[in-house]
Amino acid sequence: MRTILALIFGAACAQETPDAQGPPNILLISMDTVRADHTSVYGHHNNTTPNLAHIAKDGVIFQQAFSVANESAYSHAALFTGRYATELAYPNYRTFALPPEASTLPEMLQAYGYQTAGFIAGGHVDGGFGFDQGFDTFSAEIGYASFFSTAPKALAWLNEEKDPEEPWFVFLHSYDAHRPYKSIGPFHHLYGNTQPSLLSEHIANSPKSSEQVYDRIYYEEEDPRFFEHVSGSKIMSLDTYRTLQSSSESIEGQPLSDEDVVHIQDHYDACLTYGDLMLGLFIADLRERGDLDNTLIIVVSDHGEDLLDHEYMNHRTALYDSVVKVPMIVSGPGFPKGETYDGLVDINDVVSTVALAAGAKLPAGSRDRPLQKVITGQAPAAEHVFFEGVLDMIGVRTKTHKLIYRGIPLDTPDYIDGLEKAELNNGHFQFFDISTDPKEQTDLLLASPETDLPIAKSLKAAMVQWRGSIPQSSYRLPSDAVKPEVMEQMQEHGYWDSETE
Amino acid sequence: MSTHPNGTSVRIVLACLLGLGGCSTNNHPSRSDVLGEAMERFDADHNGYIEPNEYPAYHPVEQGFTDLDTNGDKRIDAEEMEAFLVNTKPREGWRSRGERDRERGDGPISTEERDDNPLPDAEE
Repeated sequence: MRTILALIFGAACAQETPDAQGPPNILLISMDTVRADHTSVYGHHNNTTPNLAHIAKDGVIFQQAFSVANESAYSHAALFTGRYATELAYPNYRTFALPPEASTLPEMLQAYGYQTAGFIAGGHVDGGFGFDQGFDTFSAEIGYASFFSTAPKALAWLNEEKDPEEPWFVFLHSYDAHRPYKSIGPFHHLYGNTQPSLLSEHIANSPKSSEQVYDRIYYEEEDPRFFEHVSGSKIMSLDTYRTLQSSSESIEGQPLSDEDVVHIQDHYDACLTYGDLMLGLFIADLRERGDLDNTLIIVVSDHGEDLLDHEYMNHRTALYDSVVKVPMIVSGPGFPKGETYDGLVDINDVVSTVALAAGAKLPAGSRDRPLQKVITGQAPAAEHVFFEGVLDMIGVRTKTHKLIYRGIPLDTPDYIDGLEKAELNNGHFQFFDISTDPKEQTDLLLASPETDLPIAKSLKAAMVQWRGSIPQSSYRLPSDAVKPEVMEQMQEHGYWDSETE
Repeated sequence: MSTHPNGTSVRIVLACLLGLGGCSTNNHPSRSDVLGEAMERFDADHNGYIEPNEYPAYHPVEQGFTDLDTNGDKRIDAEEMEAFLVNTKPREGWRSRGERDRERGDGPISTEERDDNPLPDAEE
């Protein structure tokens, strides 16, 4: 069947190659911190993303799309290279950056005559972390900005600076859904109809308070560096979260009610809706300019947000689907309109997708699995997708199951050997049957140690094989690479501390 | 429609075969239509305006109705909404009540405060 489909497709879609219409323009959009199941285009009950739905009508919705990491720098490094983050740099988030020798998507397109421009919403995707490589124009906000800030700059570049005779690549980024979950005007309380508590309002609107919630208990002190008092550790340390967990037995916190949690999630949805609106206006402006003719549009997110579906509210402490399952919508040359695709894909597939569309040679090391071929059966869908977490965890998922290995730093000597020898019941693994437990609430290794063990073993074997196939990088961020103001903003949001190497 | 185990549907291939592939993305709504959809979220009576009773807010610390109703006619029209969206940078210009309480030195929000003092209807 696959061969037949491939033959048909090969003949039918030849007109979509760059030779027929010239190289398409490429618009790559990263909506930071957007979990797929909170977008209405993926079925959420709040109408959060009508404009993503409009884009999807012109393209393909990838129903089973995943990020390969749970933090922005790891994920965007993968998005820009088609490689896992720890192939590119030493596996420690505090020193992670895209190394100069990495071959990136914009560099690839530059080599093929594209004009390249990146409009970054700030945070970890800054040039100081190596993400400006290959961009003719690179604009990064300070802080965690919205499409409100980045989209007009992209539009101005398209209007005033690009050469109309040459194809263009624009990377557009936003943090609209990133905490604090604080929108504007009538959008701020767009969803929900019950009076919110002061506590839920505070957590939703504070840049960092959501990091002080464990198991629906909020632990607050006047000093936002609360974690330092108790544990002596820093907010980016896994020990911080472990300490929070253990402190819950001795420190009185403020419990969040079910209504509080829903209210905070409604705030997140409202921010997502506002970002979707800003994106919709940007796409509308492009359409009116005629810039969408012969343009490949890829919309993805770098990770989701757990929103207290499990222990924590953030994205960095988990590899549940709430954190790694992301929207992915692709429209333009090579993609039919109004379709869905249900096979497994991930953001490492983006580089080869763009390369095929642009007629470019894939950078060394990038995965060669373009989505144009995947959707038509010319290339196989993934049997497994793999994840790297910034706090000592990795994961593997099939369409039905997930295995997570956590608590062992990825730079531990003989990590793979240790993984291979580890017993599934040693407390470092979690195993979920997503076909029956899509919210990943029941760890089968705890609930019933013998259940589905053969599947867990096969996933562990796949995990071992995957880690063994990844050359580990020793590259670390130079200490003077990041501007002080960028570092300051990241500290404000709990991403860094003053003793960073 | 049949679907291959890897997720490929025959329909996708047929779409390509029939030339229905997306060479362009021209079906996105216009700017005014996008804004119109946004207005519709709030315009419960579908009269083209957002009236005070349609404006979602729990307390006036938020950017309120009057911030958008710039001509003071007690209703927000599409132009006022667009002007607000174009001119209002998100995450700036206001703080939540909880943050203000903290800044005033009221200390951490206690469970009693949370339970006994819902956000006020009119203050500040």
